[in-house]
Amino acid sequence: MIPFYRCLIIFLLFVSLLLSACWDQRLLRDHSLVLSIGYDLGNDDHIKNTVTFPKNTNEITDIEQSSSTDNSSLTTTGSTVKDAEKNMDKRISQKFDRSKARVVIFGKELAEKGIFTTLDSVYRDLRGPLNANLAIYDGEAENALHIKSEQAPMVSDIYAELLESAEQAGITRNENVQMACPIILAEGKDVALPYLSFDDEQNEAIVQGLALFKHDKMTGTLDTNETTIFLVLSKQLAKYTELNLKVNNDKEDLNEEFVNVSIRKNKRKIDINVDNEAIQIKIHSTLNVEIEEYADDHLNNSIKVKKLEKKVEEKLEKLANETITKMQEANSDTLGLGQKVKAYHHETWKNIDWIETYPDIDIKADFDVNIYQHGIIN
Amino acid sequence: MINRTEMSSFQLTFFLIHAQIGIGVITLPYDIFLEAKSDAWISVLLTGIIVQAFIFLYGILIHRFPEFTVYDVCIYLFGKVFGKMLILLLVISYISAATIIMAKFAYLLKIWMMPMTPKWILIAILSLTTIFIVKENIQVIARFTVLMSVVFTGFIVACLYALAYADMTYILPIGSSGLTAIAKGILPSIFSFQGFEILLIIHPFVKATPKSIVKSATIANIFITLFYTMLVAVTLLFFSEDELKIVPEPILYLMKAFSSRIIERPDLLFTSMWIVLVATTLIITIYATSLGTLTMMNATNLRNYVILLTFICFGLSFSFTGIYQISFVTKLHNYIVSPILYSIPILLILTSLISRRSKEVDHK
Repeated sequence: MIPFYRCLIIFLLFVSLLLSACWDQRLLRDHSLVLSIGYDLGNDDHIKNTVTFPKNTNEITDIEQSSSTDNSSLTTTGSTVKDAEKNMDKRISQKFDRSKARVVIFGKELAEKGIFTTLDSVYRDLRGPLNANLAIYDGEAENALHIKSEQAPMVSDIYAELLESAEQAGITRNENVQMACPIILAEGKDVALPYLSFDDEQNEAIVQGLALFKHDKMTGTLDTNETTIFLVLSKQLAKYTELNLKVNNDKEDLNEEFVNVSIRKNKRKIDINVDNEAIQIKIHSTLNVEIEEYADDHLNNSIKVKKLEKKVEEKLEKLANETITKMQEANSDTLGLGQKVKAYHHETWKNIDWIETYPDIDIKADFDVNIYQHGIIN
Repeated sequence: MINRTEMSSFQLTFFLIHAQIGIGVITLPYDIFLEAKSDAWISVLLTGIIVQAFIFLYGILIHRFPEFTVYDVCIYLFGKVFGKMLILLLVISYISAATIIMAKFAYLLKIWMMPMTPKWILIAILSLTTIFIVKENIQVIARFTVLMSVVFTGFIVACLYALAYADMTYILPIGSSGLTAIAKGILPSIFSFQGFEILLIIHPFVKATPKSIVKSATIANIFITLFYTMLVAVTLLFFSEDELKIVPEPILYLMKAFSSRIIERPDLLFTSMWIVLVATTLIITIYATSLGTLTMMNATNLRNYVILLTFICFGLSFSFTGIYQISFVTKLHNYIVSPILYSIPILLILTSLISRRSKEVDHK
């Protein structure tokens, strides 16, 4: 038994030796947690990197008093992202740590040039913030991160929460850094990212809809209505998707000309007809809608309801086809139609260059609207 | 000869599963994808069938020598000198396998978890665990593998969760890469099935008839095939083709993408589960090579050889660093050493059939 105990003691001593040091510890006090990152195109194709991080408050009593000035931001320039970050380390006293970032915002100019090469270091880094939401800002991301808002003390919170609530309302669609990657690289499918802008008067950031991409380059935008219809077409219905449609003309009261519908159930069918390399695509959606607002009333009359359904269908079709045209003009296959062609009509797919073919394809959307609820009054 | 403690055929199934699923599990989808593209999962299924054929073939040997390990058979059929040379080949093969496991383990752990921690610490911890378990008898290893099979539930749950983000169009149309590509994918996939030949080393320790031993091995093989197919399919459904090209450890990358507010880096949890699989594979490999050395030396004390061989592997795994060297050595191992591992039993079967020598035991 003695050798066993001796072995055990030696073993334990050795283990305690191992435990006494830790090479990979990263202490919070040595790091500045960057919570939002902005990338812009600087001079000579340089990358302008803006970050915001919580202000290093040593005294706890400060926290109660501080409100909107709770975070500081810093902008540096470098030839690549990592280079800019290196310059950043020169300026802040602590180590720069971006692993907890919640939003990554791209300036419009950089987005038009391409975002994938900028994101390379994020994908390569084992602590890369893959969970952060991506967004495109109409202007310089630097300015976006400099706003001071009453809504929340932290810039990162403003954007993270704004994007989240906008997605729930069905006026944009979020992609985090990881989810965007397979779509950017995929053939026959393109990514769409939230598009933000700034309201000078209200001093607030607003969601403008979606920015359309062709591969990793931004090529167009959709406004919020178009985004909603895009979400319907791509079957990514949000929790509270509402649409305001003008269905009547020449009424006395402007309010009576509009109907506000909320889409509850969405069935979609995509028909792809291939005939001698001429592709025809029909997107047929069946929607169950609930009337949220209709000042013209009298929704207990079934003939009137049928009429209203027809009008809503017409309006939706018009909007949808406009949206599709816009997406084709941007050459952005955000609906992933190319993937469908590739999967179900592989022979055709091999013979065509999808990127060149896509803008000229005949894509039609039609709707079948079914009003099944009208709230608690007629 | 060596003291033969026994394990049940139930334990054998888990033993084999752990012998095969190990270091390669997180890179497997990528390796096969490079050859077979979006039809990689078909390659895995085909490989399962091929491995099954091997298992039936080895079944002949088990039938003819139910109480002999493959090392004993070598000596029995080829005599002391030539038989021992064959054993030496097998032992070297297993040492090579163990060395590659250690080197890859340290490399992957360094890039995914602990970039600053010195390599020798990582390998030392793994080696010590291995020595600690292998120096006991085979029953302990068998029980340990059964116990550690819990980690597979983690893998399966994670894969099911990933299916929520799956895009069917990534693998459609099925068969688009063509038959040659699918056939080419079998080769990298068969490397991940390495370890089924351990069956020939441990079968004398199993308290069961040769028939039920083959049955247990078949069950293990079916599980592994389905498990690998699931991993590959989920990866293909999650990553688009062009992204998978740049992600060499897709399973870990997949996990990394699922961070939530509660679990910030699920890939760390996942790496911990994977470490267990690596450890069991290494334990079984070291056991196999130690047993071979024991037979070769006509010795009885397994413990000394376990410690010696682990240290040899530990030392060897230092000789190559960096991804490029490791992948070169892995290639060498896969194309030269593994064929030896598979073909020596076949040689034995043929010799035994031709010379009509066997050591069958009467089953009353």
